[in-house]
Amino acid sequence: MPSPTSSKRFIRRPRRRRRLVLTRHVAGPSNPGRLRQRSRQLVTAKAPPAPFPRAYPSLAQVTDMAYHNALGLVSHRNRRQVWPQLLLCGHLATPGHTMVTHPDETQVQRDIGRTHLVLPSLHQQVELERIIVTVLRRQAWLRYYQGFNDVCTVFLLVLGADRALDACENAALLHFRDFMSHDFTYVHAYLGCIYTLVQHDDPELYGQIVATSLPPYFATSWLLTWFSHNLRDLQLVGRLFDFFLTQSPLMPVYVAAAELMALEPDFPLWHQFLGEVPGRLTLGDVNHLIAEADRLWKLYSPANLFAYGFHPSSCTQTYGSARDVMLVTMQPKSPADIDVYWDLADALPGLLPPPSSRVATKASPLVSHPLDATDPTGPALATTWPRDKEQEEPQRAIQSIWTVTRDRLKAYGRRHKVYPDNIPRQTMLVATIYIAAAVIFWLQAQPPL
Amino acid sequence: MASYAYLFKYIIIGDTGVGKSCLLLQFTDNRFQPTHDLTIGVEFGARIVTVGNKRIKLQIWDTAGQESFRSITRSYYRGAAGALLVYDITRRDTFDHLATWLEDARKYSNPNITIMLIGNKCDLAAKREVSREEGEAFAQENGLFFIETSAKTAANVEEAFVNTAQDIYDKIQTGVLDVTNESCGVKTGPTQSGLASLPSAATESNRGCC
Repeated sequence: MPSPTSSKRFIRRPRRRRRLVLTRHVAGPSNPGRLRQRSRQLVTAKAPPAPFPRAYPSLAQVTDMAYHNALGLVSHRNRRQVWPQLLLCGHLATPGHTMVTHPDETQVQRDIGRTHLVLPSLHQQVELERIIVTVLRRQAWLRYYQGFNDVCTVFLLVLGADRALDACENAALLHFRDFMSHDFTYVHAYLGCIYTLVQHDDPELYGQIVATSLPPYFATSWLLTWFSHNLRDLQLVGRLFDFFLTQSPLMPVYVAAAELMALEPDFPLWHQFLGEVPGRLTLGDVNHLIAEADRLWKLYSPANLFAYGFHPSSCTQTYGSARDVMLVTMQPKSPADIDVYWDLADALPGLLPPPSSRVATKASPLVSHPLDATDPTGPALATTWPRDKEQEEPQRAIQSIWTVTRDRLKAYGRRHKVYPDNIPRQTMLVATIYIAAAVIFWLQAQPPL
Repeated sequence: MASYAYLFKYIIIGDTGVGKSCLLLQFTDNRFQPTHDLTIGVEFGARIVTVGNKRIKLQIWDTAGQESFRSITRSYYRGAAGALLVYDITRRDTFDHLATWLEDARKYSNPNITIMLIGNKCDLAAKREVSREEGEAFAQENGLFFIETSAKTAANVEEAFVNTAQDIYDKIQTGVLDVTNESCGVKTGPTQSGLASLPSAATESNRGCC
């Protein structure tokens, strides 16, 4: 009887898949030089880990270390010092929507024993439950999702119980709150961004994805848990968290896209294969992915690629002002001396103010998440997923007619040495007929009134 | 060895914690994990079974149970030929939610989908909250198949998957399901003529020599 793994295979290099999963771009014909160079940089960076600045490192120092150092912030001791600062612990004023019990608490209880990184003692499981439940009760407008327990487990294991609570709360508010709305609209949006990146950076691969209509849901846990649902090694998870905590909440999307493009495609078992890939990543692979994600980020910054799409209340949009506060609070003096706060209520105009009475109600949901108010007719995020297949076809037809027309006009112009302003009437007539045909095609594709 | 006559797509649905992933693991790997990881999004498993002297490959999508994930799992209904709707016999609420799951399944899936209602964890008889008769009655009312299983002891797990495959196979034989229409969730295997040029089939047959 075949096991499910034995039927996985590669189209191009079946034998070398396991070990070389992340070498597609290095070996491939497209941009070979740049990536090889990048890998070399990483190797040199790996040699002696840079000494960690002892007293109060600045945001720039930490960001640089989390990116360039092969081991990230190197040790949990450093992380205990820096992560709370990167999460604005003690410098974040929250709107204060509290609740006696949160409707998701029973779900939290069920999921405590089902974290991916194993909590060794029962005591830690109790701590984890207390942390998640407290976060939910304090921020009653956030909903729990399966996977948030994995994120909190990382903070608990790295920072310890007393620091973890604030860290988890602020991580939810700064980085994960888009996923904690009453539905998963924004999860779809983030997943769609992965494909948008692939479409820009590797159109060939994107074509294959479209042809197999593989939805991007294999990456759900990558984004929802920052890969902590997939990796078994806490050091590796810590290294990725170092990077993500110093970057925009959209960075996991870039890492996911980098991972997708680093793999050899194998349809149709891709979903299964991709789901298992992060579990086999090594430190070298992770560093390669981070370098790749950074390259993508520089090539296709979200400001250009997703310019108008994100809701103003999305954490991708508010991260900039949070980072400004980090710049001030992470200075070479004791953080206790710096009295700066970032008021989340200012950043979230869509969040209703907490009720005036301090008596919390049990009614659920108490406060709606700002993203729930997203206007469905408003500007949609320019992602390439989910796509409506029926609407896709006529658009492609129009596209091809347009391309053909344009190419013919160009060829005509070259042949007769004419410029667009003196194209003969005959050619204009042909062009008009093509456009009319395109309009008819498009009208046919519309649903009848 | 890996050739098969048909490929059936399954989807496993039901509340969180009822044992969907454990059922799949027991079926594909003959293993049981008392604390199985959460399913985030959708996971996947496959195995070949024999029905009516035909080898049939089951491609199984195992979905997350939490309600927020429904928008993700919904997109897997459409291409499924069989759905395993699972509840936990020791938790009444998972049985009470069956109606909403069924509603989703009817709304988003192919009308000819075969649905198997599964009462899981039947090894925990002492903690039982939903009787076998209730499960049977619900299945009968809604035109579903019904079976009680235990992913822990492997009782009836094989049957749950194979009986569903049997029904789908019968539907193909009687012409209810069209194997050429991929949205039905069934496909002919790579051994059939005409489909041998599929890339997956090509690598499959090449494996022996390289």
